[in-house]
Amino acid sequence: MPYKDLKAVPLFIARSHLTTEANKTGAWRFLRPRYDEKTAPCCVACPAGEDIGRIQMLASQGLFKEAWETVLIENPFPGVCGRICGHPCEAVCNRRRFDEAVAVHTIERFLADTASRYELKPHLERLLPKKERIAVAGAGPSGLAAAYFLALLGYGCDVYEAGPEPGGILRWGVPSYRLPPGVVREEIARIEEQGVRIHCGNSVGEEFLGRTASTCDGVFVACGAWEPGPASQSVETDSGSGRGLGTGTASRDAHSNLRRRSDGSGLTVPGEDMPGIEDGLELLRKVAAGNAPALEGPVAVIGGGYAAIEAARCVVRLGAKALLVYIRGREDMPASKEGIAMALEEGVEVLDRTTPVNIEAQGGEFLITLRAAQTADSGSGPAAPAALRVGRIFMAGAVGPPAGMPTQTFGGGRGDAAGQWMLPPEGDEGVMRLNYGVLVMTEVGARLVEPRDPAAPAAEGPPSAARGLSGDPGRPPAAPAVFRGDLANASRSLAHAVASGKEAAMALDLLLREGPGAVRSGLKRCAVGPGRSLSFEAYMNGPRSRRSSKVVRYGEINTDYFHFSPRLTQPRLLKAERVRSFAEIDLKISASIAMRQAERCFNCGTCNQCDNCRLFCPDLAVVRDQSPWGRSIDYDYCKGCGICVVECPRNAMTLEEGGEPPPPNCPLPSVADGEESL
Amino acid sequence: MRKVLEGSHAVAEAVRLAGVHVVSAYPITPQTHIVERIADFCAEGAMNARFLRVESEHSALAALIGASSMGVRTFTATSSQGLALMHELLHWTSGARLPIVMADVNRALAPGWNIWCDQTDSLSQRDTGWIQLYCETGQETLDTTLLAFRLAESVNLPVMVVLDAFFLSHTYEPVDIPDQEAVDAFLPPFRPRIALSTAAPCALSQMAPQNVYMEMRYSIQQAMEEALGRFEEFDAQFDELFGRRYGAVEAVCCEDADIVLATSGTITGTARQVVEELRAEGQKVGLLKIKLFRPFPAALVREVLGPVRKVAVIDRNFSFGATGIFAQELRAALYSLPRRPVVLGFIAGLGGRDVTENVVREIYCRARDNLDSPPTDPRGEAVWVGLSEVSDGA
Repeated sequence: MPYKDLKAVPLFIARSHLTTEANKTGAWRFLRPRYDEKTAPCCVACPAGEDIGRIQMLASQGLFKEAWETVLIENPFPGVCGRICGHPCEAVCNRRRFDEAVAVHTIERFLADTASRYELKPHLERLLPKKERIAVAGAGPSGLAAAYFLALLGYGCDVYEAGPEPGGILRWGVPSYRLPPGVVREEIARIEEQGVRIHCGNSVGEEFLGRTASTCDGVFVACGAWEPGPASQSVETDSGSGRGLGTGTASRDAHSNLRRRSDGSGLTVPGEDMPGIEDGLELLRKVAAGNAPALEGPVAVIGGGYAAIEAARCVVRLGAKALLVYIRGREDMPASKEGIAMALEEGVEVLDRTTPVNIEAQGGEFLITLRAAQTADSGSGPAAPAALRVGRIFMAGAVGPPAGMPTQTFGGGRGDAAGQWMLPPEGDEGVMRLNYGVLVMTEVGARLVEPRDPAAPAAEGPPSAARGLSGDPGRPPAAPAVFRGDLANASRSLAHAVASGKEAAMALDLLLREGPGAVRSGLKRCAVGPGRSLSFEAYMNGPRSRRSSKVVRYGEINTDYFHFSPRLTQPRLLKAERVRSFAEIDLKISASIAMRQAERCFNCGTCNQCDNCRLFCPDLAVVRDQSPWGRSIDYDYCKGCGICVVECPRNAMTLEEGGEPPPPNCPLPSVADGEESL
Repeated sequence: MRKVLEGSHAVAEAVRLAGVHVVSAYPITPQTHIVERIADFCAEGAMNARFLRVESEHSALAALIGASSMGVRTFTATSSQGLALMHELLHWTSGARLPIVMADVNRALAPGWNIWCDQTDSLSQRDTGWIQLYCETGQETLDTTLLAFRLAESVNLPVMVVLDAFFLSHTYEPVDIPDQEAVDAFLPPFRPRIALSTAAPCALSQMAPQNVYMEMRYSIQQAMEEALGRFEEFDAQFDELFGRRYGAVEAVCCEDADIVLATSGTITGTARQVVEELRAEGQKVGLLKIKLFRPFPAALVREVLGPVRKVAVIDRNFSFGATGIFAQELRAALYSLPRRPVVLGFIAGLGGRDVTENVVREIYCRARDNLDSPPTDPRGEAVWVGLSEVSDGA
């Protein structure tokens, strides 16, 4: 610079070289923030209690194996559920209040498909082997789930299945265009890899229970609801309900598949027991076995539940015209809305508010006389045809447990098909109603009464005659038993099946390890939020057990940190392509789509290490460190302004009363090992 | 390079040439064109600078206080409400002795909502310890901005470059944009006396109790007094390099003037025209343009106005409960002279009302035809020019 430096003017400023840390401004605090992971509403709605927020977080980061394992610790069937679960999680997803719900269902399938493609072997936490052995009756989703969790708990597990292959409803009741059998086989194989032994061709009647109960330490009865009930009654509520037919001794020919109430009451259609009238479930079983009949011309399917819809869709694929006859309105059909919509797209014709009143055989065909059904709200709709002339009829109504299945019959119990099976009343000694099943304990014995045959005389002896599971009168039974959900719940969905299996495993473990007094409290400790679902990870004392059960509401999400982004449209076969075969309709998605869709998840209540708390703290009182959270609050300087809590996009923090720092044993995060997020 | 630029863009060019490193600003009419142009420079790489967008003017100055404390050259711009919002931090900047430069586009304060020219915004901040420089033309605005950085960094006081709303900010004039080499010869790279560093950690602006505070304030005044001389020196250096200088005040035809009009801002341009015409008509009139307002150039003012009979101050501002502010300052500066002029205060042009040649002429005539002694009634100290009849309430 060419000009001379001018003299410096006096500069008298306030400058200190003492540390400012001497002033512990945290002493001013009367509210304090704390890391506090909470429960997302989706987990509460998921009967299997999957840690969905965390699954999405891991998937969005490309940690597909970890995400998959996070499913597997709560549900051994991600490939199955990712295809046929009714996804109640999406109905309560907080994101749907922002733009659209997260595509949890599709992402779950993607994770399973990815694991399958790369032949991944999951690393699952398991306990040391125990000496006790548990017998499971039925290799359907519920029984297999129970066996899976029991194996992880260290129990030796034997599953007895009447049919020639395991899978139950998954194998025989869901057509391959929804659930390819290869997927089912693969997931069952993974369960077997945990040490579960499946014995096919073993019927599971009362005799079986008596026999095996004396040789094992616990029993889980999960035969499912096998028997079709009266045609016009339908108590199914979800798709994937527990229906199926075994081919062992429990199978029935078409004739006796038709069920009447044992007391003789119930809807009957004159002519319904004619030879040639078939069962919808049986059709599904035949299709699954590769023995699908050739069909042509008009075919009637009577019913409105899951089985009816899928039977009708099979009819279309087999080359015939499907006519679905349902007594109530379309909107009342118990089948899923999606299933009904798909059926309509495939050309199934639905005749709702129509009831069959007579069936006649006429020259190789059937003539069904129809009448418009009166419902409370029936206005003048389109007039039902007076009659249908069809080549085949498939009845697809309600369900019940298989005959020969030990049940407990009391007066006053609930049962739509009265007399067939009934629930033990609350408060009965030795009988504990769980969320999804019924636990019958050995101490007071399982009292069994033979299934009521209306023709038989009343059972001899007092009704409370003890008759143990061992089969001999008077001898105390040898094993406690859990009877699965179909007997205790109106909901019969796949997810509920898994839930009941998990609960049974946990209940038996608690009973055997700690006694009856520990069962309820032990299960309650694992409840996901305020709901009925249970978490196996919590049962194993994983990080999830320390999560707050408070459910995050939409208003508690800071949506400033999220952008609108559309939910994917599920790629599917073209409509014309679908009915040409039984090929799977829903197509795969790519990893990049899966990650982008998973990114839409708010991860309600789960910390994803976004660092907002640290960036926004005006006191620099949030410090990165090696703790499990990856950061900690320096309460010497935190003034409790609460900015961190507000700016946490996903409500993984809480601001609470109290000036003093929180106690040292405050909950740890579910992000174990302080793993870094991207 | 000569270009036709609006006043706001002239400021932006100077900021670019000065090599500012951090700009933080919040938009407000009629300043926004300044920071928009600077934002473009930052985005296109014409400036090696970070532009911090903030949610208010208070935050803008807070951001600059932080940046300046790190020892980098900083700039912001604002007007009226924005300047008022910054108020506490205006005090802070000078107390912290940070050489921040700010352009204030003189705009009326609300309510009523008025975006046009009025000086009350900058003048009502005259106690905050900022050097204030008023500009008449686009060229002067560019030149003054460059000089502002030099002066600020020399005495460690913040500098406010003041220009009229619309009459200057949005008026296109031919402006010579100096080339970078010449500017670098005038304005060297910033060598900060205050610069936080993790190598030598410290905390700024700690407690300053009774035993030190007065001395700290005194040192600000010492810097202000020093600034008077340094302004002249840098003004002269600028002249050597660029052939232009403005002076803390500019006296036009004042040597033999009977009556001197005292103006600032763009009114000066109009007044020059009127004085020329009046002189041609034989009136012994002069013009004193006041450029440097803080520190107030009392000595120069005494020198020019001492011998004069009357001074007609045109204030485009007002201090309620008192008088026009330039008039106040002039009176205070002249008070101790044994022989001093009568200072007549005129209030004109508030809220952007046009101060035409006729208005200036009218002011001159009223000054000329007024009594030779000061008005006895204090209310006569400020004459509001050109007010319409306003009826009493509803």
